[in-house]
Amino acid sequence: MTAPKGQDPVAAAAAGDREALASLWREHRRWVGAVLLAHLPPGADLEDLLQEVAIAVVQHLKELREPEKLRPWLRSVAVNTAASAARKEEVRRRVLRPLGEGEQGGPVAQDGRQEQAADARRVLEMAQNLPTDYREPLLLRCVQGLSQRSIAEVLGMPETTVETRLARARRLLREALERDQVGPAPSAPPQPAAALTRMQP
Amino acid sequence: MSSVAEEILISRIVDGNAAPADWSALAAAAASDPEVWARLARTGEAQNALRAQLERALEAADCVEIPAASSRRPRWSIWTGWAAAAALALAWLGIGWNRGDRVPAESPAGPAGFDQLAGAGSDPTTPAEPAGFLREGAPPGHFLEELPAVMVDARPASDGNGQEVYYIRRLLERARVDQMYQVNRNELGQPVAVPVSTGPAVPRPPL
Repeated sequence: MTAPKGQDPVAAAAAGDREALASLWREHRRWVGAVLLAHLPPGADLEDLLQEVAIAVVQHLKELREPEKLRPWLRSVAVNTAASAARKEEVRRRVLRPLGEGEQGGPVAQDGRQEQAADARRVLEMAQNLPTDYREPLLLRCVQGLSQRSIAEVLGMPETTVETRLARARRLLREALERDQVGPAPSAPPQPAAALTRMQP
Repeated sequence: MSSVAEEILISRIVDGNAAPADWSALAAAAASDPEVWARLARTGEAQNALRAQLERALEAADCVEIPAASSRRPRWSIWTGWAAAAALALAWLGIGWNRGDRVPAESPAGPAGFDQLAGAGSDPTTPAEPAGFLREGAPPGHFLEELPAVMVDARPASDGNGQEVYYIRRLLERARVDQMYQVNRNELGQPVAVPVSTGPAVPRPPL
């Protein structure tokens, strides 16, 4: 089924146009993934949750009354999916803990490459451990092509609030990394010229 | 300059959104505190590391497509959920059958689901059959059947003999309730119970 030419893509997708729906999903799935990462419960798999969101979108997009609210709607679907996974994981944990799940062997030695990869993962983990208000805008801003304005639209808050939260999130992440001494090494003596060259527009 | 003003300026620069006035303000702050440049550099590095890591994590997103066929859930799966919810509601409200005067019943054989999974009689540690207990304890027609078990995990047994299999046994039950509720969430994300109707009664064969 294909919608008439010129129809709003969201309306077309909601009306059952499979091509419009697939294209809409491809346009938004990355930042939806970032929202999931911001709310991902321990042990959950991003791909699995994203698949659940995709199914929910197919089933419920027709219920979206205002197509211009697509982004906040997608975000709420993603947040609810993550919350539901967290509840399931909690039940699973409570059921399996008496069975001894989680009993691991001793520490496993890592070679240099594994340690580097683990350090890199720590940066994302640290961002995921920031307070909820800060981690979501921070992860969304790292998604290519998502502007501060778009993030404000997704989160349903003023752009100035997003800017303030982003700034605080970046400071908290930097401080967490400094405390943990992983990832970016403490900087060499101040290099204002280098910093200017790298970051000036 | 306050630390809040500094973090906003640094964030704008890292974001590539800084105006010349922002650069001037940061340079003025750095004149009295040269550490500002180091903080700027470290924030930029943290941002780059995070972006790279997130990009890698989101590669998984590129593989996820909209399901090809209609993923409408079959009616039976919806009603299985309702049945479980009703059973839980019964347990919670304490209006289920009276369990106080019941005694677990001995059963000569395990149910088919368990036998298929573990191998009939292969495990001397098999507990007394709970399905039998339910059959004896429930009112007539309450317990319908045991559905095939769902395996949760399997691992080598700690003594090296065979496997330990973890599974969930599923019992199909029937109960009568005055009203059913669905737990939804309101706009604040709080759970709220909403009465639901299953539509008018239509004659159909019993399960």
